[in-house]
Amino acid sequence: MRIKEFLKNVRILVVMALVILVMATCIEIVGVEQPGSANAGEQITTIIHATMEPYYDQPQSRLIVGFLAPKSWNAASTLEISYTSNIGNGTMRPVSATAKPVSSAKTWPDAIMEKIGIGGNYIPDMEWIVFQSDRAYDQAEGSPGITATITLKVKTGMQNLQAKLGYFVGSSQQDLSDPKYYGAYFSDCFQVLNGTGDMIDFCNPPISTVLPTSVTDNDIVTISFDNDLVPTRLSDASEVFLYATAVTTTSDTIKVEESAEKTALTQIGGGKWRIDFWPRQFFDLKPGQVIDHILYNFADKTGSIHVYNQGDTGDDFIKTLICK
Amino acid sequence: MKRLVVAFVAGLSLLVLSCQRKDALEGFKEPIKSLKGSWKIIKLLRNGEDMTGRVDFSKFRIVFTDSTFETQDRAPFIVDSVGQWRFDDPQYPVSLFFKERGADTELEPKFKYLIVGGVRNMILDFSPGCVKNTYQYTLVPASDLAE
Repeated sequence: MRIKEFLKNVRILVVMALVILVMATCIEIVGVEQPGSANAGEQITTIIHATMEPYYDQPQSRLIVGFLAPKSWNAASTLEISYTSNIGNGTMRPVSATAKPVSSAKTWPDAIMEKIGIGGNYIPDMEWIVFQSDRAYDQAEGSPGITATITLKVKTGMQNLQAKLGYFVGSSQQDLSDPKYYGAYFSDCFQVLNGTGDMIDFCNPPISTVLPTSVTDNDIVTISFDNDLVPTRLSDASEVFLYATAVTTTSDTIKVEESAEKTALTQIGGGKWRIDFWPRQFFDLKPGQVIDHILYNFADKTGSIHVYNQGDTGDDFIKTLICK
Repeated sequence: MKRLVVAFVAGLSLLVLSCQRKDALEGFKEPIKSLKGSWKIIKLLRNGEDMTGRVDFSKFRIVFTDSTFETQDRAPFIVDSVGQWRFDDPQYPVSLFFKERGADTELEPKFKYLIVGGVRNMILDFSPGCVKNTYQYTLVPASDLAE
């Protein structure tokens, strides 16, 4: 008898747990409308479609929306968020600097960064900006589901870049212990165009780096090529060469595009290569000529196979020679 | 007794020799340092990273006379032509100054003048490009090493 009662209780508990689990899929981003590119400093508008189904009583719950952007945007200073929903419309404001999700020791931006991170971006120089609705709502288990349309307006930064922007939707009365309890979405690569500086690519692995980061044509420059990050047509190459064009401050171009000893990279282990050179010597500059930037790619011995900033495709890598 | 005599003689000898040494030092004068001759790069650091051999500056030379210099071949060096040089103190140099022909001002790299393994080393620190990038060149007389 006791065993039957025990099993009955277990079944009830299992059913209750399943109900909670099903109900717990309560917050979800079901769609995001975002432009693919914008000019530097331009305001963009993103529409987030989200659904929420409270699975237990949540008195005075506020809508939480997070936005991930490159730090250079300083998005907190231009971000505006509003929403419409079947339970009310309203505006949003930044959460306080000390506000934390339920059961979290971290503030909202840090907690979201810990749970979701920066998505498919490769450069961590990004931040979550977190807003909450001005109005709070009493949510109760069994309440009708909420359908919200969130409008987010923000100005892009002045730096040319491409990055995957991130969006987060949650509730102020909801912990983040499980992905079911919040919605998250990362966009495809979003481009900021016609701004300043070289295109900083958050979206793709850094196939090539230049050291020192700040250089002139009178420094010794090291260009590295990491063929381990993504497979390219040079993955099996036994020799790799730098094909480069210097563009001077007077817009003259000097090309060094040959597979020769001068342009040969040195393999430093695995698929990692590097070349060190003094630009004034490498490009045989005349007195008075100053390099503004260098365009480059990598090639094989024959010069017929090239690797660009997105691997087998894309544009030349670009390095502006400037002291910062 | 014999031991005492030996010790006494040894002590006396040391005293006499030390007196002779004193006499010798009295005539000593610190020589004037000279950079005269041709110098070549044997070591190169960029921001502390050893770049020696990674960029070929083996043909670079800087040739000093008593007061002038001239560079041969090229490198991102502190000077890149001809001009004049001087020490702050030719006997005990702490600073080295370059003045390229036509320039208004002197250039002063950080300077060390050492003897390493019997070979005179001149170590210069400077920034030919961005100021935040520092390079340390170690040069030796070109004739001191096998070419």
